[in-house]
Order: sequence, then structure tokens, then C-alpha cells
Amino acid sequence: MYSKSYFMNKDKWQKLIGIFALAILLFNFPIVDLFSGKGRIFSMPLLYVYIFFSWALIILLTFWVSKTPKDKNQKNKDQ
Amino acid sequence: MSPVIIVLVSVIYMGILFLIASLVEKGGSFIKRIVHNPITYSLSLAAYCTAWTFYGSVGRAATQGVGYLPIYLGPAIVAPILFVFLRKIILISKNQRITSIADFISSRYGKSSTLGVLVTIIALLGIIPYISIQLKAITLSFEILKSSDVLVDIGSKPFYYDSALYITIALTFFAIIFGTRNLDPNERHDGLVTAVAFESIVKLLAFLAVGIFVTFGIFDGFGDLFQKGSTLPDIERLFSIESVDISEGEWFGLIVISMAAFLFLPRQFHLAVVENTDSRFLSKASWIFPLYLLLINIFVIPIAVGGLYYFQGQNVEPDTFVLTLPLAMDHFRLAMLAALGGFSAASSMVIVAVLALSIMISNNLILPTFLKPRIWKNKNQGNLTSQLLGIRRVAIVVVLLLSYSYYKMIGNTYSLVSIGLISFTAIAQFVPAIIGGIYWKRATKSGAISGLVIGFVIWFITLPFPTLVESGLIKSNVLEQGFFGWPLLKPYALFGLEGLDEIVHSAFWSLLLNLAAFITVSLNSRPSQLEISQADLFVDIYKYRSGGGAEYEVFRRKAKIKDLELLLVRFLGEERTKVIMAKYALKHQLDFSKITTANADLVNYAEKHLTGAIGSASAKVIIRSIAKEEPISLEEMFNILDQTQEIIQYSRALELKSAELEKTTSQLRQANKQLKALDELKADFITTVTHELRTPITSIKALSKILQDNADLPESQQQEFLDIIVKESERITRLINQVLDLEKVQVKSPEDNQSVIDLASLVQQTLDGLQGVLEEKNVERQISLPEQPIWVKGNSDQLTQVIVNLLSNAVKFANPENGKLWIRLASKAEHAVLEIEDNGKGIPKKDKDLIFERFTQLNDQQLGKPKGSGLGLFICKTIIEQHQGQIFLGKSREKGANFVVQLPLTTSPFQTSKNEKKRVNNKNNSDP
Repeated sequence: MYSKSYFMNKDKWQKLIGIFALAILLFNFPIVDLFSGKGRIFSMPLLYVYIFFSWALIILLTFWVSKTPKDKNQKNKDQ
Repeated sequence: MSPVIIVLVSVIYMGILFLIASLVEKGGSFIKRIVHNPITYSLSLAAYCTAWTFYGSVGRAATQGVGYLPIYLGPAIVAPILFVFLRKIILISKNQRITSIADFISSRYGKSSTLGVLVTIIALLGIIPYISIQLKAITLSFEILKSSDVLVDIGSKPFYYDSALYITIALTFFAIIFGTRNLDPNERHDGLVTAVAFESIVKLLAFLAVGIFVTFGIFDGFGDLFQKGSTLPDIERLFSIESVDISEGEWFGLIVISMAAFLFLPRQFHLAVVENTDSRFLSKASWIFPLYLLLINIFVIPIAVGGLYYFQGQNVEPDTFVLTLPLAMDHFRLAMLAALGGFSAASSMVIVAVLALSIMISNNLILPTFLKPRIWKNKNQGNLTSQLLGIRRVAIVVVLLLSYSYYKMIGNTYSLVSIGLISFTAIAQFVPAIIGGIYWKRATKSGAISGLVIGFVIWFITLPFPTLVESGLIKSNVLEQGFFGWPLLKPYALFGLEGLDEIVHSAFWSLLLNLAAFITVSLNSRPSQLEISQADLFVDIYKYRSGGGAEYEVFRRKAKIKDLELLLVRFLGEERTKVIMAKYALKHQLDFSKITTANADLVNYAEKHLTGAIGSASAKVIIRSIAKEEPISLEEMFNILDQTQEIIQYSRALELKSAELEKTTSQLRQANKQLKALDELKADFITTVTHELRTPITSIKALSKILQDNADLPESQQQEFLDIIVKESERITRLINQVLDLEKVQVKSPEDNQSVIDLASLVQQTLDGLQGVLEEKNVERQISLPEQPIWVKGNSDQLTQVIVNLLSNAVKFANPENGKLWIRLASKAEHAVLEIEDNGKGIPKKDKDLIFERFTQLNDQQLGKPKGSGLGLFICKTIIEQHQGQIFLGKSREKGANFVVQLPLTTSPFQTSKNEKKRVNNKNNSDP
């Protein structure tokens, strides 16, 4: 009843939910508050650098997880 | 800058958008491939970034620093799970042909039109402030460009001079052209989506251009900008969370409501779900969309810092920095580009939002509420498509007019962001009903309605209502005193909760009580059949994906195919109807010219297509007008019930049978036990009897042998031996007789040969019969018999035997010297009592019960060898018990034994009938 893609999906889902949880953690108190204050990186406020870098990290992780070989098959199917 | 140029540029821009849209709608497969593409899809989702993002973010960053970010972090956090969460919603919506968020919620809870209306009203009231700030932003940018002055006041002008009005009219026109050109059953507007995606590119490029200009043109890169900014305390404080005074609760609250807004704002739902052509696009969108957000946010802080630094002490509104910075540096073209970016942000939002709202208003508000279903049957009505489009056009005009009015009344009092957040909080009220709807089957319609109503009321009294009071539209002291003068009901400090930002305060209470009501009422209400089947379809969508067919429908419906076709033609047009019907016919190999009645499956199929055009609640109502909707016919229901009943009865019969069998088995077991016991008794009996027989036979045999062998024995001795032989023979005879008697007694059933007997005369007769024996033994007798007859029921032979037995025992055991006998008969209460007493040795107490058992012979040293068989008393007892009487040992006057026989009295036969009496008498006479 369950195809191979079902399990691949399940696997992918769990990873994505993991990233979601990580994002909640990174973008909320108390972690965010750790970077608040006088810290500067190349005179840029540490807080902004931290937020934008974690943001980029989350995007990168999502990109990696959602870019499975399965996507290629799907694309072929679509066309 | 001349307003003519501005208007001209704007019109050209609009023309380009329109061109894109119509190209796409007419376009071939190549263009379709560009349009149906994850990138276009992701860019269309970026309609989330409105003029609020474009202008307002900078404004908020200038006062709150990092506080502008949660609104974008929310969607960025939720983006990774789009493929998990939003995909489910998309699959459900495609399966159910859902065309708006109101449709989604109403569909989940049993296609409830009440919920459809409720959600539409909440969305409408929630979105109007949001649209109004877009109008404000466009107007502001227009005025700034026109005057090239960084300090414009757009508040005080007569309406015909008011550019906002003309902008509203232009947007209305634009929205009508884009959104209501034709009625697509799936509400797909490829052209519109592509235009929105294009606008997303324009606003991103424009914002990046301004950002780069500020960072690298005005300042010397990020380092320089932040370094210079740090020198001013007003700017420096923006770099930490503490100094801008954002609490953990506020931060988290904003993230949560922005997540909800990103997913469930009607326009976001429309773009992400309704316009989605392939749910797998989500996989790419889950990183492209947050990347877009990241890019458009990178320069927010630099522009804010740059603006604050550059316009020190000039009192320039930070919301306008994106425009005023290029203007101040005399970069008019860049300013024009920025304004265009702002315009694209605002227009894409407004167009999609009013389109989504108009769909909801026409499908969920107007159709089910105001139009009676029978109108659709009226043959004079032509094609209803144009009427539906008309309703939508009116809805668009009304929504935009309302937004314009709100802007005129409130718009100038509040910043872009704070008004936008009011809308977000309203939309967040949908969260419990939706999330609960797709993951919790137990959620009910009543639960969803209660949650939404409570959430909406709290939202209204804590957010929009105070803005109306503060702007002076409503005169009230509610803000200070609370509703009804209760301090606990102050709009900004509900239930005494103070110190929170008003948005978070409102979101906290409304969502908390919404959720609580949703869960509590759901758990305490029963869903209808339709709700249950819809809940199943929504929660287990992956199970039903391929089918989703009629087998899950609770209702079986029938309709005439003609009616169905007529209905489809009215709403979808003739061409589409033909295609739809042909598709169905092909799939199911049907020939519609031969069939007149549509089955449930076809009705559902038609309903699904209608749902696409007019929403699920309306489609349900309209289909009901032509379809005989039988919640499963009574007959079918009875059939099902009967079958169940039969099975139940059958199993009950089986149960009974098995109980009976068990009973029989136990009876058989009992009988078997009895038989075994009887068998044992018989064996015992035979052993005893043979033993008893052997003793006299042995002595007879021995004596006979002596006599045979010794012929010379003295005569006296021979005589003695012969006497003994005769006695022993008699003993054997007696024993055998008694065994036969016993057998007779036991075999006979007690009722046999019973008649009414006078016990007194029976005793007398027996005594007379035994006269000889008594005389011989020389026993003194004392007899007391009543003069009246004592009637008992019984067998006179057997009773005689009892009396004989007892009397001969008494004679046998009476004192040999001066034997005495007492024989008494009397009637006591209901019994006849016969006592036969002797003056012998009596019976020891320990043997009192034993003597009535068979073969009990009292061994007495003095008496020597017993003279009985040991069966006499046993026979007596058996006979008396068969006569419902008792035999026992009574008290004796001397030492001897006193046997008492009790028999139940009966009525005199003379009182019943003469014949009987005669018969009894005869019988008595004939007895020996």
C-alpha cells in the first residue's frame, strides 16, 4: 500500500520538521537575547549579523533537504 | 516632479502588468511552463510583502530596531514545513474544490454556511484596515514624489483633490479587470498570478536598489553606516533588544501571528492554495520564499539607520525613508523606481486581497444567505455566470470603498505596521479551526463557531474598537473605565493583564479563549454525519487522495441529468458543462442520452465542479434544490437494520441453545451420578442380601450334612436340628419376601392404587389378623383407637404391611417376661398419629437414625443373634415417605421403643361423593 516514495517523504518530513524546530529555537528568546548588546562584527551589530546568518542557515538546510534526487523524477513527470 | 509624469509612469506600469496577464492567459504551452513553475509560485507568495514591508518596515525599524523582524521570521520559520503542512491543505482543497479560506473552514465542518458567513465577515473586517494602509502608502508616495518635499502632509484636503480617492478608483478598476474577467470553476487566474510574481520582482529590485544606494552611495558600506550610526544614541539603541523595549512575549506573539497571517490571510491562502497548480512546488518554495524575505529585509536596518542619521533633527516620517532618502540626494529616477516598487507591493496585495474577499463574499455570504435556492430553478434566468461576476464586481467596489473610508477616518492616526498587525491578529483567529480541522477529527462545527465568535469579539473590543475611540469616532470612556464600568474589561488591559503591547495583549486573550472554546465545545458537542465524513476526508486526506469518491459520501443523492446539466450550464457556461459531462461519461463509460437519472456519484461530481465556481456551501444548497437528497432511504436503513437484527437474533438463539445444552449436560451428569450411586447401592444391596442369605443356608447345609452322615443321632438331637433347619428356611423365605416387598415398594409410584382409607379400622383389622401371634407370645396389649374414622390417603396393602412390621417388631422386642404393648391412634392437627410402643430394651440414642437404614440390625449381647432381615424398618420408612408421612422414634413411657407414624389427614370421602365412599368401603371390606 505504501510506496517507496511514501517512506522517502516520511524521512524528508521528519528532517523538515527538525529544521522548523531549529528555526523556532534560533529565532526566539532566550537564544536571540544572547546576541543582543554591544557586540560588533566589522562594526555591524552582532544581533543583526546573528539573525541574518541563522536565517541563511535555515534556508540552506531546507534547500539541502528538499533537494532530493526524487525532485528530478518529478520534474520529468511534470513535463 | 510633475504629477503627469508620475501618473504616466504608473499607467505604463499597469499596462505592462495587464499585458503580462493577458499574454499568459492566451499563451501556449511554453508560457504555461513558465507560469506553472515553483519559482513563479514562490514569487507570488511574496505578495506577503506589501507596502507595509516596503515603507513600514523601515519605519518600524527606525523606532523599534530589531522589532520589525518577527513579522518576517514567522514565515521564515514556517517555510521549512510548507511541504508537510501546506501540502495537506492544498491536497484537501483540490480534492474538495475549495476556493477560499471561508470555503475551507465551512467545508471541513459539514459544509456549514454559518461558518462560511462567519469567516467571511471576520476576514472582511480584518482585511479592511490592511487594505486601507496600502491606500495610505500609495497616496503618501504619490504626494512625496509630486511635491519632492520630504515633509508632506496628506491629511487636510477636500476629497476631489484627494489623490487617495483616485488611487482607490484606479485600483478598483484594476482589480475588476484582473479578477473578474471570467468565471473559472477552479478560481485559477494564471495571468494574475504571473503579474503578482512580476510585481514581486519589481518591489525586490526597487528596494535593493534603494538599499544599495543608501549603503554604498550615501555611506561607504555596512561598516561605515553602522559605525556612523553608533555615534548617535537614538540609533545605537536600535542595536540591542533591551533598549528598544521588546519583551519575550511580544517577540514570540508577533512571530506566531505572522505565521498565521502568512498562511491564512485570504490573499495568501488564495495564492498558496487556490492558485497552486502542483503541490510539489512547495518543496522549492520552502527555500525560495524565505530567501526572498531575507533579501528584502537585509537593507531595512541600513535604510532606517541611514535615514535617521541623514535627517537628524528634521522630523521626517521614518515610514517614508525609502523615498525621501533618494529624493534628498536628488536621485529622482531612483525615487521613481522606489515609488514604483511601493506601488507594486501595494497593488499586488490589494488586487489579490479584494479578489479573494470578493470570492468569499459572493460564494459564502451572498449566495447562501440572500438567494433562495429555488431561484436557480427558474427557467427565465439565463446564464448565471455574468450575474455571479456582477456580484463579485460589486463586492470589490464595496470592499475598496470601505477601505478608503477606514483610511480617511483612522489612517493618519496610526503607523502602517500597527494597523497591519490589527489585521494579522484577526486572521490568527482562524488558526484553531484550521489546524484542529486537519489534524483533529473530533473538532466539531459548534466548536469552530464558538472559538471564532469568542476570538473575534475579543479581537474587536481590544484592537479596532479602541482605534475608533482614540481617533474620536466614538465618544466613550471605555478605555479608562472598561466596558460596563468594569475595570477588568478595559480594552487594553483585559482581565487586569497590563504591560503588554496591545497587539500581543489582544492576540493572547483572543487566541487563548478562542482555542479554549474550540476544544471545550468540540468535546461537548456531537458532529453531524456530514461533519464526520468531512472530518475524515480532511484529516486522512492522504488515504483518500486518489479517490475521494462517493463511497465516503453519507448522503445518497439522485437527480435528473437534465436538471444537473441545466444547473452546470448556468454557473459554468455551456462549453465547460459539455466538457465536464463528456469527461464523466468517458470515465464511467456512460451514455447520457440513454440515462435520465444521475446517481449519487454523478451528483457529487457535479457538486464538486459547482463548488469551484460558487463555493461549497452554495453548491450544497443549489444541488439540494434539484437533487433528491436521501440521508439513505428508510428502506435501505431498515434493510441494514434487519440484517443486523437477524445476526443479533441468530447469535442470541445460539446463545440460548448453548445454554440449554449446558443445562441438559449438567442434568445428564446429575442423572449419571445418581445412576452410579444407585448402581453402587444395588451392588451393596446384593452383597448384603447374599451375605444374609448365606448365613442361614450355611447352617442348614451343615445341619443337613450332620443328619445325613449320622443316622444314629438320638432322636431328640435330630428333632432339634430339624427345628433349626425349618427356622432357618423360614428366615430365608422371610428375607426373600422382604427383598421382593422392597422391590415392589420401590418400583411402585406412590400414586398407584391409592384411595382414602380409614386408618382406625385398618389398625383394628391388622390387630385382628395378628390376634394369633399376639396370643401366642402372651403380650399384654393396651389399645386406644378413636371412635370416629381417621381418613388418610394411601395404599391399604402397604400401610397394613407397615403396621404388621411395626407390631411384629414390638412383639419380638417386648420384655419376654411380661411383655406389654401400647397401640395408640389419634388425629393431631393435620396428621394422623399412630404410636406402637413396647416395653423392651429400647433403642440406644446413637442408633436412633440408623435403624431406618437397610440391613441395620441391632446387635445386642443379651438378645443375641437378631431375628430380622434388617429390611423391615427400611421398608416401613420407604412406604411412609411415599405417603408424604414420617416415621420416627418417639418418647416412650418405659424403657422400650416407641415408633411413631405420622400421615397427612385427608377429607372424608362421604363429603365428596357417595360413590367414592362405597368404593372405599368395598375396598376396605375386600382387604384381608
